[in-house]
Amino acid sequence: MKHTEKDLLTTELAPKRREDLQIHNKKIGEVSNWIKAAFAQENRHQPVLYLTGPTGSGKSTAVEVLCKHHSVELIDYSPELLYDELLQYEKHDLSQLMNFLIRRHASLKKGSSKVVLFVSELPDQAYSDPITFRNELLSAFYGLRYPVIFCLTNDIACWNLNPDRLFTNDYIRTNYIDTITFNAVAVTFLKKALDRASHLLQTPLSTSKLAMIAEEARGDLRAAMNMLQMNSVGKDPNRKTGKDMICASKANKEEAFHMIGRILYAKRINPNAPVISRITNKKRKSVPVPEPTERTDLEHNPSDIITMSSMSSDKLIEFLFENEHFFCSDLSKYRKVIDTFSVCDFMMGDWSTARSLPDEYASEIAVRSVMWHNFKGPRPMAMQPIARPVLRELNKQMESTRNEVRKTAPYQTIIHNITDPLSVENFLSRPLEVSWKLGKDQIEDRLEKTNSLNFKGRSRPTKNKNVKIPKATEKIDDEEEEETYTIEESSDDSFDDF
Amino acid sequence: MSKAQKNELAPWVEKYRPQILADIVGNENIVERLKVIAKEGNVPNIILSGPPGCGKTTSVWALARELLGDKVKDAVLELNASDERGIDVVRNRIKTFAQTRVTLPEGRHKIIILDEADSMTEGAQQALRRTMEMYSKTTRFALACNQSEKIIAEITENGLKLEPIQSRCALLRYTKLTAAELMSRVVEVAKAEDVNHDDGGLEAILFTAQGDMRQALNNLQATVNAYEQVNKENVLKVCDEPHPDLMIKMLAYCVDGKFFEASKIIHEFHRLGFSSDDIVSTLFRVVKTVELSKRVNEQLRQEFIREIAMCHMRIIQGLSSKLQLSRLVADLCRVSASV
Repeated sequence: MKHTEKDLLTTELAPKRREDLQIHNKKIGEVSNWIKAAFAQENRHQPVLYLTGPTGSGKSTAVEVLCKHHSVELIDYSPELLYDELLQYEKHDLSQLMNFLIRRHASLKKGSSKVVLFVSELPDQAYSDPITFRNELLSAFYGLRYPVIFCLTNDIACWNLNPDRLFTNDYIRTNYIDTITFNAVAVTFLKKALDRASHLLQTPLSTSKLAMIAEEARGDLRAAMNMLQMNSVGKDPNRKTGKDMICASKANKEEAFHMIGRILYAKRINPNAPVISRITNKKRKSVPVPEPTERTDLEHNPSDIITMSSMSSDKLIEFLFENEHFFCSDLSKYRKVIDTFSVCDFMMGDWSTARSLPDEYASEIAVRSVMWHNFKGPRPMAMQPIARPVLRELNKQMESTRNEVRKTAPYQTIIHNITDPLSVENFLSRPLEVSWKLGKDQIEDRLEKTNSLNFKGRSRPTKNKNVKIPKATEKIDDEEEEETYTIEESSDDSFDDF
Repeated sequence: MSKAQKNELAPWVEKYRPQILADIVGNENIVERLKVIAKEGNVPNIILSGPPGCGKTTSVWALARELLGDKVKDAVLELNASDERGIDVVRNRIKTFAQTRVTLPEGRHKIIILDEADSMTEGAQQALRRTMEMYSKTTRFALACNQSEKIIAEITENGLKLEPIQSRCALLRYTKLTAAELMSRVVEVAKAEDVNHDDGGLEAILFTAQGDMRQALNNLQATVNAYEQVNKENVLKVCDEPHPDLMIKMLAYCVDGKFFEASKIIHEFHRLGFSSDDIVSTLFRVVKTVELSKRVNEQLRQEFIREIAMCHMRIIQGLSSKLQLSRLVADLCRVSASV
């Protein structure tokens, strides 16, 4: 059946069956097992799941679909829908959430005996006062009547609004909260999901376009669906090729890459080239025209290229820096270009001045320098793929690692936006044989053994150590390895930077 | 009568704001797509980002008008940065609007326009996220923000982030308008207002506007109000910018190594009361865009920009004395000699 699109595609085409979920099978299994286990035996305490992951990684959809699969009823926590007698909105505070958690929900239950409470949003008060939140939540846990899933996005850069700040490792461990963490969705899964969604549309998009969206979505299923919607509306969206694609992270990504290519190749007006019309222009590849020996004018104005790339200076320079060495012909020229990049970097630094230096300067200097020096000399003949800057990825990883560290038990009481230098110092000055790749739990264990870390007089819960910790450690280990994969490739001491 | 009079006094930016998508200049890719969406309906939530004066708000309103027709008054809510936009506003005002019933044809939705969304508080952004999903059946959001990089950048200074919101929106990135795009519209307006203009005047307007349509039209109107005649001199007088011709002359002296002649010009600017900041930014624009003498080749141009940038940096750090301007001239002479 073909859909007529009325709602957002993210809701309209949301997967309804387990087979349609484009998430790693292992993760689906974990969630599925948790739901099964939650109703399997008579638990004295209702289980609590802390489900996290980046935006659009399919957390809530997975829960919805799997609950349906196991015929479990989900009761969604939606504070907006609760009114008081005067039909005024009740204040959205902690007590409301706590009431929700311990209520009987008799009116909402549709007769099904299996009910799971689903919390995908926390009151603001929780973020402003984590300690009260944790305490109140703890007491609410004793009164739980149903299993609870906290489904929260945890890769937001704003640490103040990060749920990991509330659910610290220590808190999770001592209160027997189960955790499942979703990762950003892999491109192959994204492609499959887009393919499925696209075929439900009246006019499916071409595979190449779908592939482009998948690449652009950065592992975010929801963003991918939004892009699909943006690009699929209309009678025949494939009529024009490529040109009118609008993607999320770059309005016209193709254009941007094109422009980087233009800068790097720095083509000059070729007097030898016969004047040809635009259509025949494309055939020029097969008949190479001799390059001019003298330096002629540039084919394109650098300022125009910068405008058309629609990138900020720092991003543009990162790209140029990442790719320049393929295009520069000799070392002395390369040195000059890199020197210019260094000046630009210096200019773009945060100088905390009242007015800021216009962003344009850096890109103008860098682009002009690259275009001047990339003259003559061997160029990559075949298509040279433009490498993405590693720096950004590294920074992101560093940030998430930093958040991980903040989350780790020894630091949680101290860290509130600032990092306690002593703890970090301890962490960094760990014995060399303790690799940070071990995962934080193992590092802690070892550090504790060598007494280099003081756990603030708190002893680890030894009882559940045998039962729970190994499982948790295993899990985290896996992910740590996955995460660090790219770091290892490019630079091995990136972690020391922080 | 009164309406016509009011129109007469209205700023041209408002008077000539495009009412339909077809009239919007620049950013063709995006506008084309919006046109299709305007016909078909079911607009996703969108974020529009780009520099000021490139047509973000205009596009949203034009889109809303084409989508909703005469219902536009009831079915669009616009909140500006000047409106209070704390969590409570998002919670109540937006929600009340989202819940009101407006009969719309199938595939059409109410639209909430949030201008300068990047200035919303964190909490409000968080609250918005949920609201967006809850009312997606009836209401769509259009968020306009000035610097997309500010919210897209992985780590931002003030920690302001729209990640969860971004995930829920399609992002449209606008670019600065090109000179040709600006020109086409400015000429149209000049014709419609029967402005007495010459080419030099329009060029000066483009030079002062730097890709900002709002600025261009404001400058045009200001010049007309003050002097009637739009020529280069008048535009520069109104915009109070150092004269680019003198700058070109100064650069020519620098290329010839005539330090004293060049300094005289820059000191004159200083004496006229231009701030060092203004002088240097204009100089940058001149070097970047204006055709200089043959002897200023690509490489020299790049070196010039580099020296100007360094000087500008010293200025914003507080060294805005005349000495720094002299030093800039000396530096320009030096690089001209070395290249």
